[in-house]
Amino acid sequence: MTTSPTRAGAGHAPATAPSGPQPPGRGSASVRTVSLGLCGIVLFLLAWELLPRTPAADPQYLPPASTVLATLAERAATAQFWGAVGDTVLAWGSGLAIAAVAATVLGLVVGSVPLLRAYTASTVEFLRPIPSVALIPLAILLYGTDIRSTLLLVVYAAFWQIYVQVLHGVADVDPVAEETARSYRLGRLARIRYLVWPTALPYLLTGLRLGAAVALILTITAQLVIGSPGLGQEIAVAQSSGAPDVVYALIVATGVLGVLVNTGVRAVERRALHWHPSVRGEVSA
Amino acid sequence: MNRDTRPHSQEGPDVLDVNGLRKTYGSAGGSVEAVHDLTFRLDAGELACLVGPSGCGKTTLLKCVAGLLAPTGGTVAVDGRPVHEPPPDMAVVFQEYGRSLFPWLTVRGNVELPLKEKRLPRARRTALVEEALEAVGLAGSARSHPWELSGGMQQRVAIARAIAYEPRVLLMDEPFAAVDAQTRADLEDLVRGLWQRFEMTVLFVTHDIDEAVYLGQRVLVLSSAPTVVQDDVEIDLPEQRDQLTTRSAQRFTELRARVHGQIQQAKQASARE
Ligand SMILES: Nc1ncnc2c1ncn2[C@@H]1O[C@H](COP(=O)(O)OP(=O)(O)O)[C@@H](O)[C@H]1O
Ligand SMILES: [Mg+2]
Repeated sequence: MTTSPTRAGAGHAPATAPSGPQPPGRGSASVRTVSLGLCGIVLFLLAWELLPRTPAADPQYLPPASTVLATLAERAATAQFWGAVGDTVLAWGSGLAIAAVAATVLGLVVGSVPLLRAYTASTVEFLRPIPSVALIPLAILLYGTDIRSTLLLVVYAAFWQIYVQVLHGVADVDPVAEETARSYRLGRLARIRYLVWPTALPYLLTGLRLGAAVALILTITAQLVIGSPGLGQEIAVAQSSGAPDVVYALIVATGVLGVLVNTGVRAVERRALHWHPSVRGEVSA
Repeated sequence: MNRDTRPHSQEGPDVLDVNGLRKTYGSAGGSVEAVHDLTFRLDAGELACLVGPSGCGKTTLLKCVAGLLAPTGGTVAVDGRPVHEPPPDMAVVFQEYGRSLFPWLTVRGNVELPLKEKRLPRARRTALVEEALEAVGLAGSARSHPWELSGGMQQRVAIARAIAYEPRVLLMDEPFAAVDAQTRADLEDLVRGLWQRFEMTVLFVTHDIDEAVYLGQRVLVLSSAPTVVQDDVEIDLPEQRDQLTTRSAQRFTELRARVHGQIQQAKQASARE
């Protein structure tokens, strides 16, 4: 549709996106994808149901799917379960929000000042690979089993995911667009608002998606290990009280939470990036 | 337009004054002299074309004039004021229209953005945007996004954005180098029409000799390395130009031959260096 030279798709694929822009899913194709996916889940549940009834697996350690789902339904009727879900979502959501705001602001500032970026690059490369779980003892020392220990881990893990993406996004600002903005006398703030921010947004949202997944992992981990309240702690309690079906039920619940989180971020991406080459194909197709 | 006193009129109001401009790009591996020594002036309301081979420093010159690039030596003045940053009454149309337009904004949004930054009231902005889009023949596409339009239409949007800005000086850097021949002819006529209608001073950069002669009142020929103004040709073709009759006129052929000759001469001169 567009002829060269356009910026369509030029370097817009955010860095290190594991499941980058989705292919345009239209009409019958997406229906097929969904029904195939459902088939897969049914087969998986069937295998899970049958396996404990064979000698291959011990039902004591692997209860059949029906038992686990029944336990989950039972649990879902209790206030305790929803309290744990609430605690988990709270720790996850606030941790992610803090990380996102900090990473976006810092990323925009550092990314816009080449000197600052050069100075901080090596420090970032050192801090980023530190696994968040290595900070668990530190978190306990600082905050005990308080929600703040969970937040510390979650923020640390999610921050780098988002920050690195925002840096890439800021670096992706098209030089011609930048010169256009300057020639029309857009000031520094206006350039950030009208040019840098929209350019970095696809990257930011990719970072948010990655960060959201990592944040959930760290939330559950912290609750499991540190024992701050939430689904992770419930799992630990169920384990020590020897109730494998409850353990499985809670694991399924965390999985569902993860799927919901990912779906939510993807929906935000589609709305906010309607103009972006990776999304607009679906619209105009 | 006091044609008799050009190209070096002393009394005419110089809208653009480029004096001894030099630009050397410095890099770790050495330095490249893109522009050696350029001096020329444009009167108010002139349409001048700047023609020169690729890589001779046309874009560099334009960026220095637009205040986007600091020259290594010499001065640029717009309306008598030295240029250190992009001047207020100047608009630039880049060759890479696709990258110069913002894909997240609609056509209207793109044209309106510089006006918002100028802090014009909404009613005035709407009027300017509508007038500009109408002038380039895109009144019906205001709500589209640039990527929904063809290349020629995208460049029209970029031109509309420049027109709506109400510049006294319009700089265009090979704006039609990437569009097909028919679209290009239409856009050339559009530029001449807009120049007459909006009374701007236009500096039109191109590597295409025919285009330069067809469009301009004046053609400045640049030499390549070291880049200087090789020749300043007055184009005494009638004001009303037409792709068919103008281009087949004898005078057009003569002027074209002269510009062509100058460029050849420049090439030989630089080869001898
Ligand atoms: N940013 C830059 N850094 C170094 N050299 C450059 C840069 N931009 C242009 N040049 C060099 O300057 C010369 C003139 O380039 P340019 O002004 O783009 O020419 P034109 O627009 O006439 O094709 C070329 O030799 C080019 O390689
Ligand atoms: Mg050029």
